[in-house]
Amino acid sequence: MRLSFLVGPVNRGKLLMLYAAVGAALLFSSCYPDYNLSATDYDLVMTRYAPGTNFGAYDTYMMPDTVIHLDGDTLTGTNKLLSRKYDQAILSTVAAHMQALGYQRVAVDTTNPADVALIVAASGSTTIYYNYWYPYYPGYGGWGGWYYPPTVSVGSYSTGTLYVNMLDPAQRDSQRRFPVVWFAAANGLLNATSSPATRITEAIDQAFAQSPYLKTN
Amino acid sequence: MTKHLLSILFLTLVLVAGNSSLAQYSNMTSLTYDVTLPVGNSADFIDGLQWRGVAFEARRFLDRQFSIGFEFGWHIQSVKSTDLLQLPNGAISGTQVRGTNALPLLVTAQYYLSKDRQEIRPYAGLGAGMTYIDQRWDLGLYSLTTYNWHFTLKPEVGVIIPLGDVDGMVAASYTHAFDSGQTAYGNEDNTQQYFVFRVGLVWSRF
Repeated sequence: MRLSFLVGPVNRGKLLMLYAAVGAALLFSSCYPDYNLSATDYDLVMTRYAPGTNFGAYDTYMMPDTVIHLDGDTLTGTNKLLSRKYDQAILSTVAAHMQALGYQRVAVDTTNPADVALIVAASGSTTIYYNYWYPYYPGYGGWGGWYYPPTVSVGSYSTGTLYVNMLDPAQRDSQRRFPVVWFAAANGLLNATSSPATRITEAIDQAFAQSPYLKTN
Repeated sequence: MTKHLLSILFLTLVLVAGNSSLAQYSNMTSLTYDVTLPVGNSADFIDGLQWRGVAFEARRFLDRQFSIGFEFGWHIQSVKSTDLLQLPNGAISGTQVRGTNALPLLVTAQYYLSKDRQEIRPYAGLGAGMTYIDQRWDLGLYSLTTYNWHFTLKPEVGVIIPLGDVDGMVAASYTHAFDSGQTAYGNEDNTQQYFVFRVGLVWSRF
């Protein structure tokens, strides 16, 4: 295409082309549609079970009345990102679902354990991210264009994960480790403005809803 | 493989653009709005009509009924889903946002049924070249992305409609981007396929 096409006398056809080009640029000003995602859209619930497990054969379960707060590799540590405020609601919601599935709760007893043990745990971590922004203007005429020094913006978000692990004490190995026969992991943003208690409860509800095979006979 | 194909594409473009013996024939440039419809593998990832697409095409006529040219497009496909994801021995629930950006860069050839530029001219064409496709799969706080170049074939039918200072174009095509690299969503076959429904404006120089 010759340059004269662009700089010659303006006619309606060229104006239309300009309008079409500007329209296309506006259309593509953002790659993907903005789905207006809220904090709850970042909530995720994953459930897995050990193949071959006959959940119908279980009758009883035991569950310590505490939520283990994980901090790095420390099993019994505390995590400053996590609040104890929701622990009882978490444990009672899990217990309600277990009862609805037909399990009978018994006292925690390591010498005469229940059919399964539920261990509820939570972890939290903070991710820091950096955005580098290089505004750049292409060359014009004989100039090579210009640019501004890079500016850096820094942000962070905290995420939390709630784990519900179902262990089978009867399958304990020689090192006294219990195999996990089912687990649920609910992951989401911490410190979000939407109600954390509701999001936690809904996540636990969803974990059991997508695991109908847990029902006892 | 990809490097060779890109080299062939680039050389073809240079030869077509630089061949002064073709200068006596008319040129045609078009800017079109493209609506896409993923099918096959692509529809497994994103389904339904996709409303974000644009393409630029330049054609040079070798005679009154035959043209060659090149095309650059940008087709965006995305969907938000809350469907339960079934895993082997489990499931994942949450909000998923799946998206692809496809940027076809094609050499094209067209045959026109009519020689008269004042008439509505139906045409059939074929495009070949490479398409850059990025796929993104956001699941909760997690994101999986892949970037691949795909060898691409694109048969097309359309009509050029005289409107006055400019012409109009309405066309439909099928983009077949052959298997390349990995998908963002775990499918082994990364063939990407979609229909393009195109409407736009055409500028001709004689």
